[in-house]
Parts: sequence; C-alpha cells; structure tokens
Amino acid sequence: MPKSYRRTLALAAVLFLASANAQEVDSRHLAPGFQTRSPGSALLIVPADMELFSISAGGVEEPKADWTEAAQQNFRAALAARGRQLGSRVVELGQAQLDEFADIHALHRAVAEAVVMHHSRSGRKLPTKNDRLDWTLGEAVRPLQVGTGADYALFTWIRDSYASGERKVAMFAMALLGALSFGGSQVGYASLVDLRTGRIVWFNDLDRMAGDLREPTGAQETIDTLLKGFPAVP
Amino acid sequence: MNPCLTPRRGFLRSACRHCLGLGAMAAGLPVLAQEASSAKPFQVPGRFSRPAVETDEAGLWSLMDREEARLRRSPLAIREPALDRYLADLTCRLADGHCPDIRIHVMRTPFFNASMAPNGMMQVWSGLLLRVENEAQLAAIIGHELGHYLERHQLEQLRDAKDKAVLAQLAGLVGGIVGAVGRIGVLASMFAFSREHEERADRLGMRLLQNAGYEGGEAPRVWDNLLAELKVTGGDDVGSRSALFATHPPAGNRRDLLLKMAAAGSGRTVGAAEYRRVVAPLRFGWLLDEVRRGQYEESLVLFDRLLGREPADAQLLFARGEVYRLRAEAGDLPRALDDLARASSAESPPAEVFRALGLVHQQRSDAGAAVQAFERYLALAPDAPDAGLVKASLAELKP
Amino acid sequence: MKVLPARLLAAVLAAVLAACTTIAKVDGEQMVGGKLAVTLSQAWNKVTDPWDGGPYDMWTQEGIPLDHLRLWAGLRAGQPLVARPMVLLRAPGQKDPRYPTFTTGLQPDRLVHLFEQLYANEGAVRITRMEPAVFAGQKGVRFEFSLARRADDLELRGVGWAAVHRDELYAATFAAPKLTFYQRLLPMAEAVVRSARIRG
Repeated sequence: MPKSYRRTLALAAVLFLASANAQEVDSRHLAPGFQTRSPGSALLIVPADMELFSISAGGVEEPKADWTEAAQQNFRAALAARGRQLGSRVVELGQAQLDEFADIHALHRAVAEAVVMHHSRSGRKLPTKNDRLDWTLGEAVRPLQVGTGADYALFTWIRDSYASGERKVAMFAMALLGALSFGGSQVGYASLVDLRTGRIVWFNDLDRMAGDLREPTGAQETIDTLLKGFPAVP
Repeated sequence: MNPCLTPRRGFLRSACRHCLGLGAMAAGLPVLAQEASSAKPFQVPGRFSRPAVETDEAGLWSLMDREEARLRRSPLAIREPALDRYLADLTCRLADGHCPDIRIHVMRTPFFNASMAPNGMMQVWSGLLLRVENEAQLAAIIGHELGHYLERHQLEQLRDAKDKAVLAQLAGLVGGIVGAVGRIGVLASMFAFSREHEERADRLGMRLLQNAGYEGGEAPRVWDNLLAELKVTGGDDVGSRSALFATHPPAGNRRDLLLKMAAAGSGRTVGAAEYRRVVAPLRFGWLLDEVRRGQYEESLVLFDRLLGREPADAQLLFARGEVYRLRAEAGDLPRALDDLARASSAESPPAEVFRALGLVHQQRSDAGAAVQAFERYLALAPDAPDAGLVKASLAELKP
Repeated sequence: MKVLPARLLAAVLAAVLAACTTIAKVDGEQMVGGKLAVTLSQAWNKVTDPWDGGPYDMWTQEGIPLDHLRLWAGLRAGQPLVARPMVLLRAPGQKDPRYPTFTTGLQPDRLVHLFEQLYANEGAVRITRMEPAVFAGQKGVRFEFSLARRADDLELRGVGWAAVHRDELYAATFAAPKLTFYQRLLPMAEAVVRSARIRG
C-alpha cells in the first residue's frame, strides 16, 4: 500500500478511535465545575423522544409501533431500575404537559443538536467553547421549574433502526458483491439540565451500530450506555 | 456513517419536517395508463379502528401520532376557531361517518399542499387556502385526501416501496430509493403515491364531492390554476412531465379525467361567498406571505387570477401592486401605481396600501403625492413597524 | 463481511473529511470579503461550509442550530445574496426560481425586502421594525424580524443592517432563539457591527 494512503488510513483510524475513546474523559460529559446534583434535589424526567424503525431488505425504514411502545416501556422500566442512581425525588412529566412547555422543549432540542454537533463529535468544535460543555438555556427553563418543582430535568432523544431478517440476508449478498452495507444504528442523547440556572450540566450522546431497545435486557444496556456517568445525588 | 452529519440544505430546498407528502402537487409522466375496467368499485368503508400494535399499519399510525403532536406544538400552526369549525364541518359533509376520526391542522406555509396520514391527521397549508377560490374547490382537495385515507394508500405505498427498494438494491442502484427513503424520520417519499393511487383518490374524491352536493366542475379547475403557476418555472410542458415526483398523473390528464367525471352533475354548491367570509380574517397575512416569497411571476399569475374573480378587492389590488413595485422591471412602476391607486379607493384598504403608494411616488420623484400617502399611512397605523423609516422619508421629502 | 479495498476506503474518507464544514476562531481585526473590516473584542466562531458557500461570512457563538451572524461585504449589482444550489438535471423550459439579488438604486425598504425573502425561505418571517441607521459608516437601514423556522419549529428573533457604498451592498444579519439567547447574544453582535468599516 502506498505511503500516502497508509497515512490517510492511519489518520482516519485515529479519528475514529478518538471519538470512541472520548466516552472515557469526564470533562466531555460534565459542565465545568459540576460533579454531582445537589442533595435532596428533585429530578424531572421529560418523556423520551423516541422512534424505532425496521430496515427492510431494500433499505426502507419502516416505523414499528409495537417496538416503539415496547421501547418506551422498557426505557421507563430501565430508568426506574436505576432508582438509586436517579435519586429519591423523581417526577415524570406527562405527554399532555409537554404541550404547555413546547417552546422550552423545542429550544432544548436545538441546544442539544448544537452540543452533539459541536461538542460530542470531533471535527466541528467551536473554538470559543475551549472543548468545554458550556451551554445554557438560561431563564427559559423557569416555567418548567416553577410548574414542576423539580431542580433538574433529564431529556432523552433516541432514533433506533434495526435490520430485519431479510435485510441481513441482503447485506450478506451485497457484501459478496463487494459493497458496504449498514445494518442499523442507534443515535441519541441524554441531557441533564439544571432548572435553577438553565445550564446543561451533563450530556451524553450515542452513535453506534449496536443496541436494542425492543427487549428489556437490550433496553437496560442502552440505558446503561446512555446514562453512563449520570451524576448521582450524594 | 458520514462524519458530516447535517443534511445539505440549499436555498429553496427546505428540509421541512411537516412536508409529509406533496400529494396534491401536480406533475407527472406523460400518458397515463388506461384505467382498467376491472378496477375495484368504490365504497366508503366503515370507520377504522386502531390497528393491532404489531402490524406495519400500527407503526405508521403511532409515528403519525407523534408527528401530530409536533404539528400541534409548532409555532407555524394556525389556530383560528371559526376556520377550524368550518373545515371540520366540511370534512364531515364529505366523509360522514369518518368525521370523528379526522383532525385538521392548518399550517402557515405559503405553498399549495394538503396531506393526510393513516391516523386521521390532515394537514392543510395556508398557501392552498389562499389559492382555492371557493368551498367546492377546497372540498375537492379534501375529498382527494380522504380518498387516500379511506383506501389506505399510504400503507400500500410503504409495502410497495419496500419491494421496489429490494429490486433496486439488488440491481446495484444503491443510491436510488434507499437514499430517498432511507433517512430516519423522513416520510415525504413514502407518501409519493403511485399514479394509480392518485387516480383512485381523484375518482373517490369526486364521488365524495358530488355526493355532498358540490359542483364537480370545480375540481379540474384547481389543477388548471395550479398548472398556470407551475408553468412559470417549469416551462410550458410542466403539466406533462414530472418536476418532483415520477409517480403523479400529469396535471393536464388529471384535469381531463375530472372534467369527464364532473359532467355527470351540475348546478350544485360552489360556495364562493361562504368561503371568502371564513378566510377573510386570515387572508391578508397569507397574501403578505406570498409576496415575501419573492417569486414575483408566480405571484402575479395567482393575483391576476384572484383579481379576475374579485376585481375591486383592496387587499388583492394591494398585493399585486406590491409585487410590481418590488419586481421593478420595465413598465412595472406604472402598473404598481395603477393597482395601488385603485386599492386606495376601494373598500377598506389596508394601511399598507398608503405605505406602498408613498414608496412608489417617492420612486417617481413625486414628492407631494409621496408625502400625502405617507402621512395617511402614519395616521392609519401610527405604530407601524417602519414608522421610523417613513418619518425619515417624510423629513427628506418636505422642504 | 468483506471490506472495500483499503486504498479506496482511505481515499473516500479523505475526500469526505476534506469536504466537511470547518470552524475557525476569529478574533481581533478581521476582514470580511476583503472589503469590510471589523474589530472583535470577543472571539467568534467562523463557519465555512464547502457545500453551501454563499457570498457571506457566517459566524456563530453557540452553534449552527442556534445563532448566526452573517456578513455580506461588497456584493455587486446582479449578485444573489445566497448561493444557488447546483442543478444537476434541468428539463427543457425549466427555469430557476428567483433568488434575492442585489441591484443598484434600491431604497431602504427594498434592501430590507431582500432579507425578508431570504428568511422567508426558512420559515414564517415578519419584519417587526425598520428605521434609518448607520452601518459601516454609511447611511443605511436597520431592521428587526421574527422567524418561526420550519425545519425545527424554533422561534427566533433577528436584527439586520444594510447599506450601499459605491453601488455595492454591505450588510449583516444576526438571529438567535427568541428565548434567552437573542437577548444574551445581541450585545455581542451589535459590538461587531458597530466596529465595521469599509476598506478599499
């Protein structure tokens, strides 16, 4: 293999490895100066924004109601199972209430996108952020804080696709023809917002070819990965 | 696994979360296949119950439920109780028993579109409400969308897309439908109905329209009107070829088909006055949205047509005058002046007419007339957003 | 599973990485389009997108999904304010839609309308204020607007400035989410704009 290609390949490998290892470094996930949630604080769980798709043999992504419903239930159960990690004061925000806080939710979605784009992934960092998790919704969260009495809010977003049986066969067939093919992916984020300041104090993002929310064990694993390093209440 | 994650969005190629399906857009390949005489007869089915959760239909439903929640929460949603009631009544008249299952969402988007999802969610864009001329035309569109809903075309299309995609992939066209349909959350392609589906929806829609007592002849008119606008950028033969989707029957052919069906009934409800009354409180905003698009030629085709029906309407005269003023090509300024002058002496001219007149007179270096118009504008709208600019102009114009 | 030949894979990766958006820090004295000088007391992030390179500089504080400061410098008559997308296939008789294009002799309200057109493409826009102002040392216009973005249902507030000098357009727009971001970041955008001077 010519030297130039070897170098490019090495560079590519380093970049991919770097993003894989980033999970280990704590300052990537925690806002500067933040370690744990305040003692006795209440945590608001915002309904997970979740869609599950099945990729058919032809690559068409098809929404699956039973999977999504199961995933929602598994997700909630997996969260509840972390009981101690979440803390004793946990409040769930109802879907109906989301209508009332729609603009805050939309704002958070945009901020989370900015964090994923400019912080979680390498290549598009904002130099002025100095590699810090430094984003805040500021005063915008006040209605949420006042309306629920919570001190922190956990937002989650997941898009998950799975290769169907036919798809796996097709992938194998295509691999024989020499073409790359992908069998499903899991992308998402979990974001912890301090409702007293509006700061995102903890953030984790997911972008992998593994994970399965459809079964309880798979969901537990996804939650474990998503909430790895989730700040505890002392 | 593209490290550049953001989808590419160029100017005028909007990545629109709510563009579920330009199901009502006209465009298509020439020569519609001859309709098989053994085509299924139409029946309005009974109300749908929620599909069993493990079916593919259920997947679509619950996805659409979540999309509907987003629509409801969107700042682009138009919530006008009188309009909502009117649309609900209209839908009930068309699809009697299904009325409780259908929810209509009007969105502030200046393009012609309406779409319907399998869970009963209907979306109508303000650009469509601006373009239809009466209740019968609106009913024709809603009837068409009901056609898709009642025959569950979206579901068929999803299944069809899966099959097509397999063939495409195995044939080596990896980028084809996979690229178009394979993106998480993007559903527009799924609802690009086949030619057959569109034709069936046209036919069923026409049945519903006529059964509800509306004038069937208004349905083909919708396509004629749309075609005229599309020709501006699409060229004269846009009606016989696909600009967007390769699966729609061409506008010209659709019109012919509908004309034939419409001939069966006559002298029925058109509902022009009724329609105008209902949209009156919102129409001026929609006209402004249309002007803001900056697609002057298309807007002129639209405004010419609307003025053909209501030649003395102050708002329409203003809108067309504004387009001439903004386009400002050879001969436009006198046209603008003509329209705006007529608007100012028509019934209930909006304050903006005098602003536009002031600007036109300023352009023509007629200081006296400009001052008069600007002062009238500020008298009518002292808190106008551009009051500061207008006052500065007045100071310059007055000696 | 068999993998693409390594050589091909490396080349593809290199090409893809090279064609990505890049973000660089801008601080101190900056030149926009070779014609507009600005002095920054606080650093900004300059975004360069090879796929969407319009005739303007784009800067951001909090990130692309949130806020942007766009700067146009020395745009000549006949030039559109945005990049035209590549048209790969064109049917006979098919024409381009209109893009907001600068021409000479535009009155202030027509200058503002250019930006109204530009943002109307992103969502529901409304100009909420227009008044004479000085931009880059030239007499021009300042305007404010609201935007409900279609792509993500986010409500933004914005402000813009435009002036013409020797038949060329100099302009800036700043937009950010209506909730908290706009108020917090506006002073920074205004500081940049206040410092702007035309050179050359």
